[in-house]
Amino acid sequence: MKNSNIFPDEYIPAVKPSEIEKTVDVGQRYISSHRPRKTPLSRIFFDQVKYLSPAIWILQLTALAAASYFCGQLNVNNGFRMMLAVIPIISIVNVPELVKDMLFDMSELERSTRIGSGTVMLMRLLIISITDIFVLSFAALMASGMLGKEFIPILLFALTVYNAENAVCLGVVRLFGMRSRNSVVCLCAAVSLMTIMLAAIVNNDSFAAVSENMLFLALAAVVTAAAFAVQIIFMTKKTHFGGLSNEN
Amino acid sequence: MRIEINDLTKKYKEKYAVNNFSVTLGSGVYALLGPNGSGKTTLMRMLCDVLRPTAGSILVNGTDISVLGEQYRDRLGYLPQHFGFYPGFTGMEFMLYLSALKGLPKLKAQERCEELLKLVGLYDVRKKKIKTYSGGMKQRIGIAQALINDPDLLVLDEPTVGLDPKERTKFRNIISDLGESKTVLLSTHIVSDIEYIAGDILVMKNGELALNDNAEDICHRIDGMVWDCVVTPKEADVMSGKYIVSNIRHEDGMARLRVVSDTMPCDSAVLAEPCLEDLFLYYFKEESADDNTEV
Repeated sequence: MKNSNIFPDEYIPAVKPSEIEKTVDVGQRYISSHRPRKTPLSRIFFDQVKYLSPAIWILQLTALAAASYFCGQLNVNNGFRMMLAVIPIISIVNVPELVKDMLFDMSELERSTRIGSGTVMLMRLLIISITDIFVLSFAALMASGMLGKEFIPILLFALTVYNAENAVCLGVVRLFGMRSRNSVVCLCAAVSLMTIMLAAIVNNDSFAAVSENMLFLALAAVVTAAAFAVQIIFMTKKTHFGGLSNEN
Repeated sequence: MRIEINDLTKKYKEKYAVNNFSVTLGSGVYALLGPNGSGKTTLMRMLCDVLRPTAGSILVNGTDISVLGEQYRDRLGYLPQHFGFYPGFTGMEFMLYLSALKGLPKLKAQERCEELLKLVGLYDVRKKKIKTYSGGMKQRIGIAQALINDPDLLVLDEPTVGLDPKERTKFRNIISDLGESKTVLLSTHIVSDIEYIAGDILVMKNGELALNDNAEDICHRIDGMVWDCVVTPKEADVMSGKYIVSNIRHEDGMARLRVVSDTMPCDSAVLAEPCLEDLFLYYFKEESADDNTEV
């Protein structure tokens, strides 16, 4: 159909075919080079889910299985003790996963990208924390249901231990500038073992005393969460100021 | 893109890694030359917003890069001197991961990564794990990732390390093409690479900018200081200890020496055309003894 048929009342100048091609080419080039100014956080989140180590998910499932097993054991009759045995299972890979860009020499590449390694680390933290809290809540729910204990004190206790363990591991990694994956995993395994040992040596009376003091439990959960957050912030700053990176 | 580096300084305890470094970069290929420990990598890391300077500023078209943040990094391509990869990554996964961090839409990322892997000759091995790649292949994928976002500023730290002569030639051609419209800053110990592609040469010494000139003129600074001498092997031994000798070639029982010296080293010496390698040796005569500079 001719242009004059589409717009009979309008004068449409004749255009050279080469000019049309040029315009189309400019448009195509713009479209292909156009990128959104900001990357949506949801996209970064789901990208990072894809690239997280499968060990995270495997250990979380293992922790849930362990929680069910412990709940059925007569000798594990205390929800607090059970959480002390379950938390190390999920915590062992958290810190190595959080700082994996440094352990695998990817931090400079990630830092120089649009999103930056700080956002990437926070996204990893968010994914791991959300799923871990889900696992801990589920375990605490099982413990409170099957052992007839209150849910909130068990969850607060679990969060305290979880945050403390991760804060200690991250703090040691930062202070000693640990760059080897094996040494970071060994450190986390050692801290996890110490937590399991606590489960074995603390007596029921101590757990009972702690469980009755809700304010103490809430404060402990908040303080350890703050300690963990501070370690994350220090870690991000230290790498940016060259503390953990290769020098010239 | 106009990049102004103003009095940039990085201090580690008492040592200045970079000290009051100032230069303005436009489009073209700039080569950063200097011995180990002269501050090249530190400067590049600050330029890539990977490291914060102790003092000074980097302005892009008049705005500080710390203000521009991700807007600046969006226009940046960086190849660090040392980089790794997550275990289990294939070549394609590595490229797609970095495309995601650089904010490329998924479909475009796939297309762009394939295009770049073809460019660096890794398309056929894109599904293989990077840990099975040779050193040269890893370096090539490093170069490819730096180009993912079609950057306006390309910072390459020792890009030709581990590349064979054919790959180096190909790489030099890619950089030359990019230098037409973009700013490329590269550091290398391979002086011949710089001679071929760099428009301007920045020489760093002890964290400071010692020289800044274009590739053609920079060698004229040592005009009348480069000598060609034919001497006996015994005399060559003596002269090697006394002067900066950039080359010795034995022919017909005699030794042909290329000497860099302010004074005429021997009676048979004739003046020669200086090259970048001679300039490097002249400026870094103290460091050259324990340096690993390749020419």
